[in-house]
Amino acid sequence: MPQNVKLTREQIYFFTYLGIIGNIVYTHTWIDNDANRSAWVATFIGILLLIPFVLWTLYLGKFSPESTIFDIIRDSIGKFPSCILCFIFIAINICVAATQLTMFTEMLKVFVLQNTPPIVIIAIMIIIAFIVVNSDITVIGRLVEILTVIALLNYFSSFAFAFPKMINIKYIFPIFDTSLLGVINGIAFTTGTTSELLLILMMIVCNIPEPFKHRNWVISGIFSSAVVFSLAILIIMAMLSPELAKRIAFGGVNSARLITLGSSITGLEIFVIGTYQIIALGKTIMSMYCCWISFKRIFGERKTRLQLALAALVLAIPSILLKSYNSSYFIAVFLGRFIILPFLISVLILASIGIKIMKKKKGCVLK
Amino acid sequence: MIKKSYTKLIAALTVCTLLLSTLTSCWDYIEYEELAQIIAIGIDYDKQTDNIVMTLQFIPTASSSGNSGSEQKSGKKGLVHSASDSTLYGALAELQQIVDKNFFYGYFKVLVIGKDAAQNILEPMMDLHDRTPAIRSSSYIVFTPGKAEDILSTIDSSHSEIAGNTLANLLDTVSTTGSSFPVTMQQFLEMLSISGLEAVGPSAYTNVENVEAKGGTIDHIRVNEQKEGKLMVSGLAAFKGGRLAGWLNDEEGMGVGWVLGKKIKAYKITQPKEDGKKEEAYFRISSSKSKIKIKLVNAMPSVDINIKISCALRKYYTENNSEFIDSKVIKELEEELSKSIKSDIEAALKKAQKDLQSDIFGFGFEFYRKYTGLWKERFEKEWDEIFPNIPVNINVAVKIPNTGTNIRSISVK
Amino acid sequence: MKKYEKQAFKLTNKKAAKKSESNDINSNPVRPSEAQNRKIFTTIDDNFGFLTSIFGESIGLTQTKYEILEGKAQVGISYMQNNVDKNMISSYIVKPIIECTGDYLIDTSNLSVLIQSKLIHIPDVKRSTEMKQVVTALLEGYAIIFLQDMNEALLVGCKKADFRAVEAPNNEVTVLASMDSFTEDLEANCSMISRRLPTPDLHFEEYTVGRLSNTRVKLLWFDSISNLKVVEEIRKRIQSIDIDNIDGIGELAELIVEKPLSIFPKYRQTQRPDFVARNLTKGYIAILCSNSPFALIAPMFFIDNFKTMDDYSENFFISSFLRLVRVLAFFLSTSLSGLYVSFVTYNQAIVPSTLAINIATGRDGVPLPTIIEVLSLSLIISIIREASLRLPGSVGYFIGSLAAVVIGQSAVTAGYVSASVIIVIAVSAISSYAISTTTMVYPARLINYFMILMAGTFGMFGLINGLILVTWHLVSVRSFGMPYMYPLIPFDKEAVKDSFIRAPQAYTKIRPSILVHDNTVKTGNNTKKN
Repeated sequence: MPQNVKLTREQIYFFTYLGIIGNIVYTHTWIDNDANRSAWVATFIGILLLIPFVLWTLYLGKFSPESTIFDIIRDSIGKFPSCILCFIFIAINICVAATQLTMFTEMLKVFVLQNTPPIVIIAIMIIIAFIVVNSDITVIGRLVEILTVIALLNYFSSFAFAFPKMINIKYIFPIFDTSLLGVINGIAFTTGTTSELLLILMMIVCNIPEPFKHRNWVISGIFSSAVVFSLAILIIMAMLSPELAKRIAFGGVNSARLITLGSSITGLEIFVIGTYQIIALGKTIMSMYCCWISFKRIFGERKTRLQLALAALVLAIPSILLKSYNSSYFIAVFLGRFIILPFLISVLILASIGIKIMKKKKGCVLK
Repeated sequence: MIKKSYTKLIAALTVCTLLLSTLTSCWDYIEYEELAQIIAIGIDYDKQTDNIVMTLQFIPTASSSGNSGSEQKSGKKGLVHSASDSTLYGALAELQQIVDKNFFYGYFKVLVIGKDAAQNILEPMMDLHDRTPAIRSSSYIVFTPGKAEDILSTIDSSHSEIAGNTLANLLDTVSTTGSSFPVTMQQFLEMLSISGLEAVGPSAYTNVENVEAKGGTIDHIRVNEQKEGKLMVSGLAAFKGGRLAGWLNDEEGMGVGWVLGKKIKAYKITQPKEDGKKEEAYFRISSSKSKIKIKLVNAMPSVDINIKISCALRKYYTENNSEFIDSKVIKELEEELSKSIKSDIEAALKKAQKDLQSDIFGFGFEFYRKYTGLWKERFEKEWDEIFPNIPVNINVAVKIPNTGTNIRSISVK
Repeated sequence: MKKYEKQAFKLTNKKAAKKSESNDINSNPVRPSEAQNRKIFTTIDDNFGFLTSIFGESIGLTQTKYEILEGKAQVGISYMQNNVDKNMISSYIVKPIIECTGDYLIDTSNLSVLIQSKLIHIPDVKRSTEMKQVVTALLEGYAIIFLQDMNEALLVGCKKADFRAVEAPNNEVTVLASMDSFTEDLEANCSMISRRLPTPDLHFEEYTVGRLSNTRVKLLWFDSISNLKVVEEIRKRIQSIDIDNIDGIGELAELIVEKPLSIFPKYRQTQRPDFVARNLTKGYIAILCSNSPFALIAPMFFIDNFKTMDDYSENFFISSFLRLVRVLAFFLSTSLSGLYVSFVTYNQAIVPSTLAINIATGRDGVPLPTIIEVLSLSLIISIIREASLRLPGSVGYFIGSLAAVVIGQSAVTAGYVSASVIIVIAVSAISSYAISTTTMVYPARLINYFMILMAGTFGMFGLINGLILVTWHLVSVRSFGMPYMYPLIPFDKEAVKDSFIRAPQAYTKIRPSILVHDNTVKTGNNTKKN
């Protein structure tokens, strides 16, 4: 499978969008208690803090242009440590995708499809993700590009009806009404949760043409998604008050339920549910793709379709077993606070050590 | 090559079977005629028996007339059912036992809460309605000093409209009287949970009492006979914490509306002049804005309320005046009007500070916005004691940009 | 089975035996395909006899011998009666040959040159020594002049042209653009195109495909503009076609388009030469074939379905608006019925309450569930369309409107369907015809059925899943190597200016970059921007 297919600028841009906005659309209420009115500022800064890690990843990608980060570790340190890291990577991807799918399914069950068994919804999402990942990375890139545009348009056009009647300026100012510690807590949590971006970035770094030179693509994606997401949180806070915004389970959907224009336009939360569906599907596609590539690294290049089916199965089973929204909420919070970012930092450190070892072995500067 | 085509075939068959199995039972498929569209819910509380009475008003969607295709607007009388039980959901379950359609809350408009319920069970009721995904928080909430059951069983005699729709329409048009303003459930919840602001809600009255049951009762569940009567929305209900504190009449309600900056497009009359001539000028208010400023004077809060009104003249004094209405005259008029508005606000302040002792204006919230640290340390806890004694300065600035179609009154010769 | 096989075996054996028995040409019926490797015989009689034995008596083969140059030489002329223009033969071939005098110093070895250069008044003359070429030429309308004692023949072109005159296009009707359309004559079609683009840069290449039909296929492109890799790809595919009969450009297209096939059209068929000329200048490649009044334009993008020639004749505001209307019509035709089903059965809250009451009243007494209503009415509309296409002329219009009125109104009154479903289905059917190409009507309706099923099982969730699947399919289709959703994905800022909207000429200076290799700028800097 040729991995040298390069993605274009727009596709990288929208990949970063979808990579960042994942579990955080559900778990952003975790920081509302600490950061209160400054939640949106904390989110903005938290997402921007990802930039150094992204730069680090792209810089490492410069050294071996045809392989993922895990290949660097395999080539330099050995196959066994890289296999262990691959397994942990797969486990994290499974957790991320399972929590995302479960939270989305429960949201559907709360608002729209009360009687449908969740296994059916999860099965359909996994099947669609399977069909998409089956084609090659260019098709995934194009699909992600167009779907993210549709999701963003959907989300903001629903909220366009809310202006100006429902936005209450009084709820936004004053901005800093909590302690600095609360804000820092919020920033740290946001950075941890949105570092899901690095999970996918480590896999597609081989598909970016000249990764370090084109770092602007990824950075502009991070910046604009920071703006978009914190704007969304700001709107939610201005529509409900921050006290009420703390208690909601499903972010934008709760606030979209309030939007009415006269008595004829109601029920706009359907479109926001559409956005959440696209986000859930996008994250499932990315996690399935990461699992598949890791499986290929562990098991070799034979029977790739079967490995893909195995990846799909491995993603589906925990989602089906995890039947509760609240436990997935807390698992996602736990992942975001303590697991994802430390794991990624350790992988990056190992990869840098690996580069140094390779440089020493070869004795020349790799370009 | 052969192996490849078999695996493709097997994969395609598996996918197809899985997908087809989802078509076998569409779990959430509901046709329109199976729905009962609930328009309004009323909740009452009986203190003696500790029972909650829940009243539902809904429109059955199947009007079984013989000729389909022609609209029959008459005969759209909704049905009103009541049931009572010790819990809210118990009452709802009893109601489902006699209604043969699925309850559908998508077109829910009004929640009516009776006096006893507002005094005793407000918080659990709010949590139920907040958490239920079916009931939209953008529907209105209304309080009544009587029983909610009576309100819902009132059919407006002029155009045979059911109570839910009438209430919703009244709440939309109430800004022309100014004595009340519409509050959605979302806004009510915000007011309950924001510290430094107490909740208010519109109050409704009806002249229907003691509704009878149509066809008897089973087990306290009954279909109410809807009686013709009149509904009125005027005044406000004020809360303290999570309990009903008292009622505000028209004038006080208008005062609260001025302070909170609500949309009021009412008619306003100046006070009669002191020389006993009983002359009033009529005005029509077109816009009103209010700004609340908090100052700390001697480490105690003091409030300035600045209100800007813009209105147009509708009737001028009719005696011996056929001069041009120039700026001097307009200035006089403005002062008269501002006095009248000020008296409204003073009435409201007196009621809130002295009688109800509940901060419905949001002075505490403004204080929090300006002096966040002080609020958190000290004032939040003591606000209930401080509030009744806060000195309030009211400044009303009235602007009359035009005087109607005439610049001079007629003079009768 | 075995008996039949034995008999067949016997027959073929008989034939082979017969063949090997006598070497006499005239007693052996020889199939035309076996004329492949023969050379022209020396005597005219042998040639005539051979041709008669191949073609038989009833095909209209006329063969005559003449003596020319006062008996010094003999020629024989054979032609097919139905394929040649007999006036041309008598005036320009027979007359000069018979009337020429023997003053010329002749050398019989030069006879063919003499006849070709001095006697025949038709410029289209070829010389040949192969019987295969003679046979093909006879079938195409050439007259053959055999020369006594020479192994050569002259093939003179005097084809009868009895093709349809140039008419207005009936499939792609426009209001303000030119109104000629292709006919079945390949030469006339090519002349219509080269009349619009009279530059030597426009290259033509001709191929012959089809063992029985020998269809001539012409490939056109601009050498300095088009992407030569695509041209090479198409050339390879045409040359690898191995089939017996090609009826028209549609069959040819199916053979050269890449697999897997998709419901969306990967090429565009058009009847208008001005459209072909415009696309050629943008870098597309055109294919024409004989006996087909349609041209094929490759490669094709999804957005090309919404372009017509009228867009370029009108003001750009109007054309942009109309293009957006067509895109909206496409969306309506694919998703309106699905949205209706989902809003009425799953997500009832989004319908305003007064409309809801009207829909509910309309559904009074209707026995079928909504999804079955919608599906069956869609199918009935498709049947009505097929029926009205096949009925002749005015009867067709009458039956069409009768069916619509009768079925619509009576069905509602009788209580089979509800009125709102009729409106929804009618709007979605009409919108599918508002898309500018007729080839897009059926993909749109197929997607419509798919969306109805998805919406009927899961409501809005299913509808969005359907949208995602259709988008995935669109994004993965390749047309002759080019991604199908070209100006959007991969994003090309210049090409987007002529996709959903039509920017004025002054702003679209650059050709779509994926189709061209070199000559990207198409208007000079002097074009005024306004």
